[in-house]
Amino acid sequence: MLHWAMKSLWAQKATLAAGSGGVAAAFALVLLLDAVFAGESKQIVAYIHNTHPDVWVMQRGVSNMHMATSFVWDWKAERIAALPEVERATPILYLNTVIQAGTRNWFAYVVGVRPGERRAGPWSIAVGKGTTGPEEIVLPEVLARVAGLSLGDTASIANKRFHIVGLSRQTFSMANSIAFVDFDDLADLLSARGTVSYILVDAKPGHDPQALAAKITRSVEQVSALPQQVFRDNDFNMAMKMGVEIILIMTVIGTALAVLIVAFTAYSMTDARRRELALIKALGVPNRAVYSAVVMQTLTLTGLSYVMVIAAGAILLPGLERLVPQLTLEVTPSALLRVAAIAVGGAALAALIPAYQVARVDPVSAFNR
Amino acid sequence: MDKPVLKADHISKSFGQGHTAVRAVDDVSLAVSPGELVLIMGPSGSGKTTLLSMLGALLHPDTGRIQLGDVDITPLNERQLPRIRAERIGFIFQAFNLLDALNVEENILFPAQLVAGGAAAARPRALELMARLRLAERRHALPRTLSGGEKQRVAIARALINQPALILADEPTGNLDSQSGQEVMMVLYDIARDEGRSIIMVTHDPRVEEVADRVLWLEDGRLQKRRASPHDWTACPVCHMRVDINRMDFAAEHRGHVYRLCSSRCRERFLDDPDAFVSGSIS
Repeated sequence: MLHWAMKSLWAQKATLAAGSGGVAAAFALVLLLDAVFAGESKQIVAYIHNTHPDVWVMQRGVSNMHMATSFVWDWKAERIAALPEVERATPILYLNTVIQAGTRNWFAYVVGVRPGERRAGPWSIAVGKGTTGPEEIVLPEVLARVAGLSLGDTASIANKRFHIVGLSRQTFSMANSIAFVDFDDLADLLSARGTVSYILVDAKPGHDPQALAAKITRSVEQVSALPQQVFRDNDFNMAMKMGVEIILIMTVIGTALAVLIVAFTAYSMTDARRRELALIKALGVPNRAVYSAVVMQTLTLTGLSYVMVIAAGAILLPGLERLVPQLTLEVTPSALLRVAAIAVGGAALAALIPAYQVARVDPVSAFNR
Repeated sequence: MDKPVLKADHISKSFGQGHTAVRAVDDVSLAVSPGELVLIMGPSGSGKTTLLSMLGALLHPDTGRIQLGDVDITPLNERQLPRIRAERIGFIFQAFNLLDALNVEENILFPAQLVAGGAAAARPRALELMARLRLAERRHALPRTLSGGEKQRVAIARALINQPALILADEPTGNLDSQSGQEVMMVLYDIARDEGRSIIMVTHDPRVEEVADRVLWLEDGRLQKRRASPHDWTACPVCHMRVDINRMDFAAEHRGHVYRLCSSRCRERFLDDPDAFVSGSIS
């Protein structure tokens, strides 16, 4: 039966190609959405991930960075730096705002870094310098390319113009890019002289970040201190909360589309074979075996589509990232597994329709002339 | 007499309900002995296919009993009947009904996977059948490349692969030219004679009668005595339309002759003035 099912499937090449192509397109949509979401989520925590201090210190009640506001008196940074477990305490100012670059506005994290300070600045520079002086800015390389800007051009934040002195890598995101400016410039923009937003704390070797965070919270008033991993997870979860519903809806739409295409293809293929189904039932093939054959055909169609998606993804995704540099795509093993699970579940669901058809095929109709 | 391969006792089958109910098969009884070639003939819509479907365990009779060898198949359900069909019955159809995606050998072996031993055990027999039915050269050919005669020979080989005691053939020569039809008939005749398999065949082909052991005439769902000449015609004396000479529905007598009329309207006109019509009629 399996032999007949597979040969029968293969014999309908045009239907097979159209069906598996359609299903592959639907799966590709699901996978692409997931890859965009995973890539963007990763980029949202890129600053936290790449600066990687042991402990983050911020205003009490604040527990993350994305869409948050935090102000701490600057002398608290000095007090933290004086703790015996602390190797270094690097304060930054931070503003979640819009940068006017070229003809467009770009949502961005603007990080104010003290002159000459590299610890909290960009971690990978494509061109120019990584530190900023007054009225200077380091922009993401991708943002500058899309906006048509280069070193020496200007970008504005709240009507204040900055000269581009450096272009950084791994700092672009469609939701929130990362730009670096002079600490005092950002303090003036925020009217927040004498304050810092976050303090990046590096512990001396051998000291536990969690214990250090607890000590800072105890010994410095009105601050929260969180170990790197906790702070990163908080930010990541916040980003997920903000985008997950949209992605979930899109995934459901993509999945439903895939199931519909599989079901329609399986229906068409089964309908075209009604006479043969009647014949094999007349010859003595039990209903159970006919169902199995139809399910196997549906699973094969879906499996073929899945392989097509994986192959197409491996070939096209790197090119897509080059073609659309704004996209940060991250295809994770869990996403591949998820789409595989969707494929199997969808195929099983889609097989219900041809199974219903099979049940309705009357073997007596094999006598139809 | 040998124990019958098939025995049907007073089987009936109706379709529809109430005013629309049609009694397709009405109280039919028959028995078929091993090696017997039985024809079922009759006009279109007489219930031949319904009868064949019931004898082939594809349709349950409303009443009556069907026994295949030593098994009463009447009480069996849809889970049990497929195995009976696979093991005990071979089917041959007018439209050949080969599986398009499978080649000649695979089509012949298809029913073998449904019985003990499977296709592997049946392969020697498939080779033997292909040789016997002159299909050996075409064993890897797909059905779309075969002639009508070759397709029907493949269907015959498929029907024989599991060595069933009974073969049901529905108009096996209906889609073939006369030479291919003749060839297929002789193959079926040889199968009945040489292998002792019983064949029940529905056909309109008068040539088959020459090789059949028995001809059953089914009309209006009932087995009836076959008329000597089912194609004996006369003309309606009123409108000159063709009328079956054996039908007496609208007959009228005039001056010692019986006249067959086509309808009640013509009969009324005839009876009004018989002499106006009798001169040109054939009684």
